[in-house]
Amino acid sequence: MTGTRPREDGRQSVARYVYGIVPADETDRNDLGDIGLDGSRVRVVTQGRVSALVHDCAAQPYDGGGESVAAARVLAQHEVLLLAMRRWGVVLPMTFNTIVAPSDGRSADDSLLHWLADENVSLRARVDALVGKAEFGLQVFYVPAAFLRRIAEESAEVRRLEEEAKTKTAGLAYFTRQEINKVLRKELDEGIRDLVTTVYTGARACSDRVTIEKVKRGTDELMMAVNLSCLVALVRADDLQAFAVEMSGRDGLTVRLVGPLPPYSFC
Amino acid sequence: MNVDIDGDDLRTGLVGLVVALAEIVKETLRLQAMRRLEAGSLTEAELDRLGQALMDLDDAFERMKIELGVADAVRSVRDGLDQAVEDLVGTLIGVEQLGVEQR
Repeated sequence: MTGTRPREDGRQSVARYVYGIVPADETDRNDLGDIGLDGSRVRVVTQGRVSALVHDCAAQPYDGGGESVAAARVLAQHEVLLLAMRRWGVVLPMTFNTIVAPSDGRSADDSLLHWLADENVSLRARVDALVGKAEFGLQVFYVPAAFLRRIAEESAEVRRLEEEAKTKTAGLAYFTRQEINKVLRKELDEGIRDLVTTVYTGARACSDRVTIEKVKRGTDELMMAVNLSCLVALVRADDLQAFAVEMSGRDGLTVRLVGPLPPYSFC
Repeated sequence: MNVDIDGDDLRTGLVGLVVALAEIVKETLRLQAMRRLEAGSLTEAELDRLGQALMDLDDAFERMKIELGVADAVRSVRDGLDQAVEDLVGTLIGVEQLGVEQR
């Protein structure tokens, strides 16, 4: 128990910031070092068959300090979880700002130990389900101009309308160009839908689970077609990598594969 | 929370919003014209005049956005509206259509 050591900002460190849960390991309960948020010392609190990775903190959430400070804290949390994955082979990540505060006359440590004891079986089962697996982010982008150019070249309907537009007056040709745009949009939508299906099917084939994330808005030069989070057995990570390489070899596509990451989307 | 409002940003944002809304009205006019074309309810001469007018309107909007310096603001408003519609449609049909986990 570390008690209520004062923080540099004068607030009392009466609470415990929880990074994640790992399997209890009798042989390894050493601190992870001063690698936590704002350089906090991350230590291991064990109860039964699981351990929590925590640091001592005030009972208020971490906020303020601007975007760069917030980004540094999120990165620090990520680094702690990556280290946990390397050390224990698995980690069940908690969301940012998971803080156990003293309550009902109990200290934060007591509350944390009670929670770990109450949830021991379920937490261990969730941890065990993630052993040997990691999250990978798979994003596929396309160049709209390249897609549209290919459609225009391959579509007999577009070629016919383009020829037709040349024979019309400017006002009438305007409507023909609108027809061309309509055909291009429809074929682009169908092409993107096929692409999404191909990427999802390919990723699913080498993943235990896949979730579809929101597609972020791109630019005129590069649009995101699909954004997946994949829970992958590490022994199959090469398969996902190979699939990503195969997709990136296709004309007009850019693929981003990020990982292995803590299983943020699957815990 | 303090909000810093810069006069120029406010003007650009407001003008951008107005132009974006006017652009949506213009696109509605174009869709209506396309429906008339497909229904065959206009003569060729009328369609020619209408097409020319819409083309002039397109040019006027492009010039206006450049002259007022609001092209990015208009794009931002349009992107925001598109995103709202996409989110709504995605929520309504996404999970059912794809039959997969979705966040």
